[in-house]
Amino acid sequence: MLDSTIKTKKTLRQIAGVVASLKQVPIVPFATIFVMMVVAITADWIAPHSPVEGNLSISLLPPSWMDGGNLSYLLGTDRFGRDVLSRLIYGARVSMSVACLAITITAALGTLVGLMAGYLGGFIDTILMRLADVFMSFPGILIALILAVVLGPSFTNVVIIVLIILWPRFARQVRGEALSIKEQDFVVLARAMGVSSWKVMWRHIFPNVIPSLAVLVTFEVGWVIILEATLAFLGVGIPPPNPSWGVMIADGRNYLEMAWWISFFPGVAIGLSVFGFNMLGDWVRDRLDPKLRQI
Amino acid sequence: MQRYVLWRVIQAIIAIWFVSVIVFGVVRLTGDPLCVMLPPEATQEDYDQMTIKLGLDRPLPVQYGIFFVGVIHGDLGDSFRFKRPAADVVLERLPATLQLGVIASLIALAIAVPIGVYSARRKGTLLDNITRGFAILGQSLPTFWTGIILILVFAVWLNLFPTSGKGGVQYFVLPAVTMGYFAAAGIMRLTRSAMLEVLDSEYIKLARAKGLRESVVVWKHAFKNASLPVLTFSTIIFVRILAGSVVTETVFAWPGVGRLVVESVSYRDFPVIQTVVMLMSAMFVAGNLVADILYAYVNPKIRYRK
Repeated sequence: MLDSTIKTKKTLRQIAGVVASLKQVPIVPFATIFVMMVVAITADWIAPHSPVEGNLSISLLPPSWMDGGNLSYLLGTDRFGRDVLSRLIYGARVSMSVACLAITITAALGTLVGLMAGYLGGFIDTILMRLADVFMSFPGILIALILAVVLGPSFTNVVIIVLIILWPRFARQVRGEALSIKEQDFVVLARAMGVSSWKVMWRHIFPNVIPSLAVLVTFEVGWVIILEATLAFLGVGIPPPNPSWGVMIADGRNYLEMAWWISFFPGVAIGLSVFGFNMLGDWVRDRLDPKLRQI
Repeated sequence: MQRYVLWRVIQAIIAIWFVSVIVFGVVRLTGDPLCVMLPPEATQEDYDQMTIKLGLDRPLPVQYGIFFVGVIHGDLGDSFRFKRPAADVVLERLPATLQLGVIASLIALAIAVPIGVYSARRKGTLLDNITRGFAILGQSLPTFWTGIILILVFAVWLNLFPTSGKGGVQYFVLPAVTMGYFAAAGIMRLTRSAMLEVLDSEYIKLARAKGLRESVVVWKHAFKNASLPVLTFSTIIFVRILAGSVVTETVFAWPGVGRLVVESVSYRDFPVIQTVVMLMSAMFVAGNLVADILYAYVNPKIRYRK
């Protein structure tokens, strides 16, 4: 009886704690990211026009609130008469899917490497970490550019480039955590009971690195979005006619004086998404990992 | 300390060597340079002659050996496009990139430090959030977009600055602001956390208790100590700005190394690409090395570890 009352009280307190922490949730970043995700998923239904087929008779139409604007083309059209808003909406799909896929694969591989290096130690640790050091000493954007040229422009290749540039950061972070966790009693005990290395890593160490992993993931997503857009801008990212935001900005560059809207809106979309992830990252870091605040 | 420095230098050298292997290998895979260099009406004989002249017919390890010996002698081959030593072509462009990088770094500091100091003092207030948001926004906007918008507003519409190219002071403003604003957020965060830590310490409380003016406490007592990690980090920011010049220089038609490498990629000008990547990586590694050593020097915990 007494036992269950205590339990109930404890649960209540936990719920109160969760509610209190929710109050501090930054609404704006969460809302931005949520909207971007929804737009990306529902692009087929909400886009008013085709993102790739244009109508040359209505090219370079200004946004609807300006002189000569057309209400059916809210944000205007580009030089091929394609609807900027529709391209923006499908661009969200490109950007979000590259970012999510790339960060998931990179975090998974980086975590695996980090766990192995940190937990197994010795020779494996030395090899993996020296490799990580070398990869981290490349200037990222330059290597991305050259890899993009070598591999050719495609969705998969952008993901591969992100993986190559970003895995060491995850590996190093996870290794550091694993090193200190493996000294703790519960891990030592598990090993003493003969639990296999893989199981210790997966069941005992991995759950404890999740918080710092979450911080890193939120921060790096923003960087991946910018990298994807940059490669697309330089003409070596997701190939046309896919409406990547970076491609749209590059398209509008030559029409800047007469049609600023072609380049302007995709930049706003990139800025909003990355800003959302960066703010969220700041918040997650402050909540989960005070140690990391300095970086 | 000496052992630590020595170990870091060795690591840096290994890293640069590895970069040379990767760059050499990767660049060889980008496609056949002869397709771009020779006119369409070139015969098979022209083709073979050129292949031999450039050494492209030999096995890859031999090509790498020649390349590596060359690198040690400062000879990175002749540019396919300019028919001159690649090192010369790149070094000619380097000053423009370095000038822009230095000015962009100063702008980044000028944006970030006041915001960092201010938001540490007024932690949690509305203005703290707004100024911090301003800095983080800079990191969220891709430089090529910021650059284009600045060109549109300040060059095309207001006609205050030239749209692109290099010349007097006015040519530096837009590209340097573009790069500096992007880099500011990192410095701002560091300044803020360093200031928060220092402002919380006993000697600041004492300084305040003595009745010193707030500006003296903040700038002379607190910031002086908080500035060490900021300055250390600035070397890293500088090399990151240099690497980022690939994009900004393309937007502003800046005659520097970044634009050179983007052009060279489309010309398949291997020697120039190799030289730029080697040079940039070397500067990148050197910048990180300097930052690490400075950091170890000011932080006894690292200094005495090994």
